[in-house]
Amino acid sequence: MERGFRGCGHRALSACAAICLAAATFGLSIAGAEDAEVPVRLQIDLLGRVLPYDRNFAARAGEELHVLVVIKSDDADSKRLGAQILAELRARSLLGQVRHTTELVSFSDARTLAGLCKARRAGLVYLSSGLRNELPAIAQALRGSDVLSVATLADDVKRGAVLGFSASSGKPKLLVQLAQARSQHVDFRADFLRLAQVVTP
Amino acid sequence: MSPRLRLACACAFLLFGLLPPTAARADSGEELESLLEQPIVSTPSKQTETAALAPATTTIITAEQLRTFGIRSLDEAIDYLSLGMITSHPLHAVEIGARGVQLTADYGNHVLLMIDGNPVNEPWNGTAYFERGAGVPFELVDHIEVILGPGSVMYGSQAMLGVINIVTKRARDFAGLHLIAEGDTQLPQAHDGSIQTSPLGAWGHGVRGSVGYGSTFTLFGEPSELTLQAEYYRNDGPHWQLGPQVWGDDSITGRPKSWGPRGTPGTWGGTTLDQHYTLAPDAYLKLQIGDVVATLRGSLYQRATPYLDSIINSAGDFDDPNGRERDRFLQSSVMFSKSLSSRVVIGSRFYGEGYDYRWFNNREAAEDCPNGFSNGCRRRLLGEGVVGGGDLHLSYSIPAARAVTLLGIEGRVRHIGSELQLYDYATGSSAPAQNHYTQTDGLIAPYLQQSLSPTDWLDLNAGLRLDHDTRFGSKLSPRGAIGITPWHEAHVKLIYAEAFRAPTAYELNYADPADQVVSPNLGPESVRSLEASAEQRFGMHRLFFGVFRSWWFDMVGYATLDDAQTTAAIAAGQLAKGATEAFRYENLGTIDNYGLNAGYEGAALRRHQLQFGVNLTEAYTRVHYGSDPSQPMTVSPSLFGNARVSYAFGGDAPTLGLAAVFLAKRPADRAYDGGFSVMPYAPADLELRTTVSGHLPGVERLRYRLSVSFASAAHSAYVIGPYLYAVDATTRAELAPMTRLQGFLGLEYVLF
Repeated sequence: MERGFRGCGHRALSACAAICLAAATFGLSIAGAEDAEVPVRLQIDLLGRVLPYDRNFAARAGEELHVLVVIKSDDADSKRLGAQILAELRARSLLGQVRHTTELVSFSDARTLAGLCKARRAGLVYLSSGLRNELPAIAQALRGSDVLSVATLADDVKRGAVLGFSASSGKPKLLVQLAQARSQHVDFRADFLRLAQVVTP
Repeated sequence: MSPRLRLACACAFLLFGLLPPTAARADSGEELESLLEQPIVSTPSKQTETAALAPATTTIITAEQLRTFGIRSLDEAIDYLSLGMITSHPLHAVEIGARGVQLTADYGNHVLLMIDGNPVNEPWNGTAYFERGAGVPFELVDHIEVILGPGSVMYGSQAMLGVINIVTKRARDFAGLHLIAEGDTQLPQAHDGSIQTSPLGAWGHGVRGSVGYGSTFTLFGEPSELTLQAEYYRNDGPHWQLGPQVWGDDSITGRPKSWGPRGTPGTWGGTTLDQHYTLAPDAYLKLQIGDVVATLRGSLYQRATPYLDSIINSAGDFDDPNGRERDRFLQSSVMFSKSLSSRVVIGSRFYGEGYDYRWFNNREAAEDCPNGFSNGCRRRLLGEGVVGGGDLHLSYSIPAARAVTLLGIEGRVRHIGSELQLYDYATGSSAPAQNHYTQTDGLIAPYLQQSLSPTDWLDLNAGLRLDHDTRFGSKLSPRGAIGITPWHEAHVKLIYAEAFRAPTAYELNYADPADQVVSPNLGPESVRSLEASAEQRFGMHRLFFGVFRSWWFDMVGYATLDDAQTTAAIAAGQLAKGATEAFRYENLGTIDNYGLNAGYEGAALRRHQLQFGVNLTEAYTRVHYGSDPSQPMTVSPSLFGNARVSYAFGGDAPTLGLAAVFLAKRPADRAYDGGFSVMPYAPADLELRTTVSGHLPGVERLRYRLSVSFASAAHSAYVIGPYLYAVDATTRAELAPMTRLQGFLGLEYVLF
């Protein structure tokens, strides 16, 4: 049994290593599925409560807030999360106590997106996943505009979105990038900043 | 239902009924704060969702709470902070129970323990440890999800009492190099339970050193992160005064029974010096590259129990420095997922595990050894296992209907081995190994779950898992849950679920020629549970109330062989010639259980510096094994709960945390079958813990914790010593002592 155990221990180690290597190799050979840390349903609930904290929200939204949900059409994750965001937005008649309309937009380039925001008078751009590499350009293009950009993935706030959501200690957290917010004429009240975590690029 | 239960139910329903929908409305700021307090869970249905909408009663224990209340192990977290679960402390591996059901000596195998979604229960006996033996450094813990009730629909065997998932931190929350040092001490007590401060050498003492690292980076063009921590913990318990229990002569030698070199012939007891310690080094690593996550965990858990009891050492030398148990775990996993389309995601998890267990038990008394060992014997029980497996799943979602269909299949192969080695106590010569067995078995388990939220006020979840296990056959585990949101921030749930525990390799194969034969036809244990709960949030406050009913079948217990069976077993060579009474494991027990649990938590003052919470569970449980009359469940308290309050002074000032756990008086493990003239009960126990934590003023990177705990009770619910059963009307049970006063100081420095 003593000998058997030693053999078994080595077998265990070998089996662990082989399984991990095989799985890791297979896993790395394909792109993974990105998922939101905070359920989209809760994200939309949070967003509805956050919007009134923006001093410019009422003026920006007017009587009806137009929301662009931006996806990357060649990215299945992005389309999946975008569909969830769209469905959750449409399930609510009011967002930030204002009526709203929603539109799904495929991302082509940052300048086009900024132009679309202006043309549609969008007050809110909800960024799905898959835009990690494009976010700095999007942030640049949206500077000077009057729109709130919201990211469904936490890491995208650091890359240029104004607002986002992360989970820590099993609870949702609000992330905000203040410099980008100011450049997009988003002016959060001080009592909101007490509830949010400020992120720097 | 008892009058007290009825009254509590009536009060709770009245309270919820009187809460008009508008009363729960808060202003916008409070509503946002309330949403930010919504726990997010992933364990109940393998998808991220808020706890309020999940198809199970779930408690979240946060990293902040662990720090504030001086929590250093999983059992402490459960006792002080969870709803519905409680542990019992027999001075070695703790035992865990939930909502009034605790199976003594089950080695935690009725609860599924996971770390980052990977099961920790070992393959030989399904054992999981909940104290230091859990083998995960606590600074790495982001939060702990405690799910009450049957959970086999997603996870298969073991998940009868519940599922506990320890979720570790992301690298961004554990950035830098962490150096941790802790020291702890426990005061000894006299035989009457009074705390003793001298001599200093009798105090228990422990040290912990740990190093951790967390970093984010880019690898293969993918955002990546690494977290890892390794720790070493060693504690030498205080000296215990045990006994004396006068035994008399050894029935084999005719001389006063020997209790080893440190014992008094004929009498068990004295002061233990060395046979109470814990040694628990462990390490955990998590590497994430894109959405591929790999984990590796290694741990060793060695401990010595300072007395004889019904769980570990039914016999053995007194204060034997070499008597101990040791478990070693090496577990790894790789998980990844990929979206195939806007509606379809495939995911997988592959895992491998190596495990071994050893029990070292020395008995100088000939009567405690098999025939032929007149010098006494040294026993070595070995158990080992290797596991490899995988879980593939596919989900299909229809966002407009908030519908998600999850279809998966899990496959697992196990190789198990065990034997009992016997050596002559004096000469060290070995006898042929007993009860040697190896087996390779496996399971395959398809599962299906449908969640659906057609409206904002209705959430439905139904699932089914079919485990086909070569150990016992097939088992279906269904679950159905209905969630209703009747008004703002209120949730009502109705849940039906079933779960099982597969017979362990140990139970199927363990035999002893003296008195036990193998049980190859053992089937799974089963539980059915029905529960209803209501939750109301108002601002930073949350009120929870739930009632539950569970029925347990085919519980494994000892069945006595009749004369014909004993004779047949002797003829077959399964029992030694001359054996007169023998046993085997059979599915012969039932448990009937119902009760209520309730919780309240909230925060006050402008910046919520003051936080508080209370949890309470009352349960009525009857156990029925074989032809024995039904009886209340032993060890498990029928009434227990916890309460906590903390205040953060802010700035460089510390945070003060006060936590308490309460257990009602409860029958000891041998209360009903021990035959004692005075039925042994463990007294009601109130444990208080005060913790001060914060940053050292002027040294932002250096954090500290200082904590002191006190228990009102001096004894736990375990009968100890050689008299686990009474021999005559005068025999009194001796109960295991408890650590009453203890404290620790911990420092953590983040180097960069």
